[in-house]
Amino acid sequence: MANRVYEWVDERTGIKPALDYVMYRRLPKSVNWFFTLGSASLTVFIIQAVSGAFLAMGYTPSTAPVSLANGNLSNEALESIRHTTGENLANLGYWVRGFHHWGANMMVIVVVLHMLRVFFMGSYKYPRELTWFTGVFILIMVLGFSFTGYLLPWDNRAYWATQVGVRIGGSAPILGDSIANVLRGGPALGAATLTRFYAIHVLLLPAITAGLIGVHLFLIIKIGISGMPKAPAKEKFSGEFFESSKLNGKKTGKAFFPYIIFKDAVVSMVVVALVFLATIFWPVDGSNPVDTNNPVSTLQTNKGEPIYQDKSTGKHYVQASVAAKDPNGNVVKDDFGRIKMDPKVDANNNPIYLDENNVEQSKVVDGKLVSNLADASLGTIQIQPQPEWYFLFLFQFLKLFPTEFNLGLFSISGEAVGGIIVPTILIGLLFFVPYLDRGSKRNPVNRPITSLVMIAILGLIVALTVSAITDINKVQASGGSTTAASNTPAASGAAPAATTAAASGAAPAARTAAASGAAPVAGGAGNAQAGLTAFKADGCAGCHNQLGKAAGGVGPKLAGTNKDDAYIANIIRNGKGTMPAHAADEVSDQQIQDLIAYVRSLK
Amino acid sequence: MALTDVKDTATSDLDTPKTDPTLTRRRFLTWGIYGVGAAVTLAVGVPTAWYFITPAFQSGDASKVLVEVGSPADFAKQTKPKPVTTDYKYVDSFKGVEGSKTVFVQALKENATEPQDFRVLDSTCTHAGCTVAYDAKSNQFKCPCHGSIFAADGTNLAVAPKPLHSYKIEKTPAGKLAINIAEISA
Repeated sequence: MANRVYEWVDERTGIKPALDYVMYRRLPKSVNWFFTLGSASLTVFIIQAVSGAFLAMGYTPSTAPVSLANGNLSNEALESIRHTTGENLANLGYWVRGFHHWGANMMVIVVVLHMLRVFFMGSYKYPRELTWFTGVFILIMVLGFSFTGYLLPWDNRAYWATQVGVRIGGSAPILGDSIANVLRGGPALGAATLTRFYAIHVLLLPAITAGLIGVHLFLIIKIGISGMPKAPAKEKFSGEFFESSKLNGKKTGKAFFPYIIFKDAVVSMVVVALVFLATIFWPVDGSNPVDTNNPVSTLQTNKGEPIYQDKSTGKHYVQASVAAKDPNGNVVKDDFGRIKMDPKVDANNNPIYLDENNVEQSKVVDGKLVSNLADASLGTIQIQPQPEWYFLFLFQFLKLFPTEFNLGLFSISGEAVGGIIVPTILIGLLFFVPYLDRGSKRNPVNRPITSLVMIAILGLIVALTVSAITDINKVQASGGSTTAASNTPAASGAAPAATTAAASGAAPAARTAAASGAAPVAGGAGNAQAGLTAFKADGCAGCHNQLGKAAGGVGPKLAGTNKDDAYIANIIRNGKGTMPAHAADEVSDQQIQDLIAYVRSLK
Repeated sequence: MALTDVKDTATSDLDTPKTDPTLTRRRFLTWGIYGVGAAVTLAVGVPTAWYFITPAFQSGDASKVLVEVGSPADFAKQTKPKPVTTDYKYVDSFKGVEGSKTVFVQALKENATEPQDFRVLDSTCTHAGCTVAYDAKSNQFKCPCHGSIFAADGTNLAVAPKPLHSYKIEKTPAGKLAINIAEISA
């Protein structure tokens, strides 16, 4: 049957000779498992295209506010995603999203591995330079997909990670502001940015990438692939890299079908299986709706519930909720007919949580612990603004640079050097490597400079990534990330934990309560202790690592700053780059003085 | 390349003995490729297809948007159609939607109390979607756009191809008359 359909099509298209050429073309006998990464990338691209097309059906690229049944405000983009992928698990929307999310991670891994294989085997050499050029462009497209796709959920984590990315773009010399405005579609990250990123993500990049992949594949079939380099001693001075292009039409080498494509299929299946398993075991959680004043985000489920973690056991919980009832016992509905949900509490007004198996866990009954929520370390999971893991090295690299390089005639910001100039040079080097490494030998041992430079850069990237992750863990350990909730037995009369997760057990958490501990000081002089309280309450610690004592966050190290008071006050009030502005109703003049005193007190 | 016919003598691999009639390495690999292809396609395709078709299984009640038009007493003496505009709010998928709707309410007998004794007609002309007006003199609905005419019970008399939509009326627990405005788009 299938054969007859094929013959029917062939009779009307004459496609058989072309397909035979592609499928039975000869490849070098040395082609092995290393050469499967390209087709694995293609497989992941197809998965992304399919899952992305279906996700787009449930997505609204709009920042318009949406009021929730619990009275909180969210936005259309986030709520459309939550509706499609969180509220109703039976529709498998969470599965489609998970596949797209983990597929994106897998894409970066496979594409980079593919690039490294080609690089170290010298496969970019004549006559395959154009294949390499299109490949580098595809790599850049993949990173573009990642950057634009990360913003689309329009939750706080996405918003602040993109702020960081746009800030790096905006730090470019001379054109910086223009670049940032073009990226954002305007002077501020907002509604225009979201629709712009959405259109780029689903229309522009897929079209360009598909075209590049088409050229890439055409060249691979037309010119053939390079095969393994010969052993270092056996490599002659020139000519070896013609081998596979000469193979076509000769009765030598291995047929693509079925010998080569079988390995491709096996590796593609492993890659798909890994994405599948990640989708099952690691649900894609989001964070709270965008808060333009606070870069620290709270991890939330796809239903919009904050996720709590017991620090001592590592187990995750969400707060149980129950339909709100009025004094007559009737269910309370909002204007839209939705049942209002309230946090569920026990007889002593302690919140009740659901564990990972959806079993209710109450911490305290009559002053006694009754469940495995054994101590006071239950807190929301807070996320510092940070990019995806594969961009972390760049993020960390930026921190190695001073704020400004003074070059006499002009000065240039360290961010521009680390975030724009150096990466541009590196991508340029990568792109032009066929013309930089002009020797005819392909074995990495026979071209030590090229190989060593790449190994050094890879080593640096790995070291920076590890260092970035270490820094993030340090912030978490110092209490900046997982914060204690105020529902210890001693504080059992306090408000439910959800609203008042505090940076430390001692400090009152509500942002507005910041000044409550501040003693009025004559002459407006700052009080360092009150400054610390305000520092914690206003979320400053989210960006300024270890309460401002260390570098390594989004914001700079504050201890030992050489800026004067007026400069600091101006930055707090009006913001700069990623640093948000703070109006007087958020941070009073007195609190600014307190904050300055606190910064001065840091050693 | 045919799906199962792998013995293409012109292009077959010289390394493979052509004489082996049963399970060659080549045949094993070929079936392996199709097997893997099928597995990957199913793993991606089945959940995605399910996600796509689940709206087919959603119950009709989810699309019910009940809008109150008033209490029976409001229309007790209203034996002629009376235009009533009501504001409504409902949740559309993930967001609250607000709007307003104009309908004509008419009591079929004086001092009516039960839903079946009332008639609620939609004000949208079935010809081109304009809003019709009630003309008390002729006891007819007239459309300003293309001159459609409807009788007081909604029957189409001229131009329009169908009668005005007549809503099924429900009584809410609070005793109000209510209609499901989603009826008209269903």
